[in-house]
Amino acid sequence: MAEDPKQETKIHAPDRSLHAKIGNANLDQVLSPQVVEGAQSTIRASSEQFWSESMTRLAVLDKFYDALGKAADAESQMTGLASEAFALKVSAGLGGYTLVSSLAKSLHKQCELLGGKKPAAKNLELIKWHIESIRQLLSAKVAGDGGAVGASIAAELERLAP
Amino acid sequence: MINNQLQKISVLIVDDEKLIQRLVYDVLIKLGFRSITVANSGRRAMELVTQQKFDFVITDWRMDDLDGIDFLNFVRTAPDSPCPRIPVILLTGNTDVGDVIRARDAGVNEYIIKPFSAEQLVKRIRAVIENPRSFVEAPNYRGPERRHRAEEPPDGADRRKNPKGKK
Repeated sequence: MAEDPKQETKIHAPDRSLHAKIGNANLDQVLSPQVVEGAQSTIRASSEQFWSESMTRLAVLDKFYDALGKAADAESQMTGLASEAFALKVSAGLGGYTLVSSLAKSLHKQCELLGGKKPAAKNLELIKWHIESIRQLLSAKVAGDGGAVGASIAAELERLAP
Repeated sequence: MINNQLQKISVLIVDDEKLIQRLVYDVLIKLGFRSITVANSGRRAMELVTQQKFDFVITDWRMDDLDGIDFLNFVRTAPDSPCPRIPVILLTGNTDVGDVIRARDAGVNEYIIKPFSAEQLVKRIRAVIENPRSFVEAPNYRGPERRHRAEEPPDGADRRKNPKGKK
């Protein structure tokens, strides 16, 4: 925000009109644990849609990865990979696929670290490993932290990531 | 029905992902909200806030057509903003500390990281309704008081009993 030297600092008291608008309702009652659980069940019920969305994102990741080897402009492919990985992190997480979400987050970080440069062979291998791990987990619908499979993937990531 | 009270609150959801729009909408309906408007972009949200009155906004950050921070900047600082003090909850996949600081400095009220749970969303909505912060208009900042309130201090009796945290 541009600084306006003529403006003095004003501090306005907290505006409590929103609570007043609902009659200062007791929100412990209005938003009871049962109500919150009902809302959470809506998130759980959308798991299948977010799984489908994640599979679509995975297909787009494949396209960007394939183009990375062929295209002259690595930057747009890397930007696309980063963007899809970011979106996949959210969709997989909302679908309950926590491990997939973590891998997508890691992939996004790798892409951001490369900053649009054409990846070296070892970076390409790491990107490919992320995509294949995500494919394996999504295809098998491995939800949550993935149990033993998840632990082995996490250990492999630890070994591979710089 | 007890949840009718939330029907009086008007909410604007801003997100360019249809599935997330739908999910946030459905979660708010389950919580008891009924007056909910959805915008596909920050630009559309800008139009909507100049046409209608909302009680608070839940917005994504990354959007192609005017992102959430640009929308927030408009709301807080534009001379023609009709609602500079409206509470804004940022619902975003951005998790870096630098992002959180940038959002705070742009005047966001609450920050939720996607993927989110209903409990996290409720906690932030309750903060906006029950514990609003002072609003600061300074030469280089316009938004809620940036220092989050700490836990309540121990009451006088407890302080006297335990002056230096010793047992």
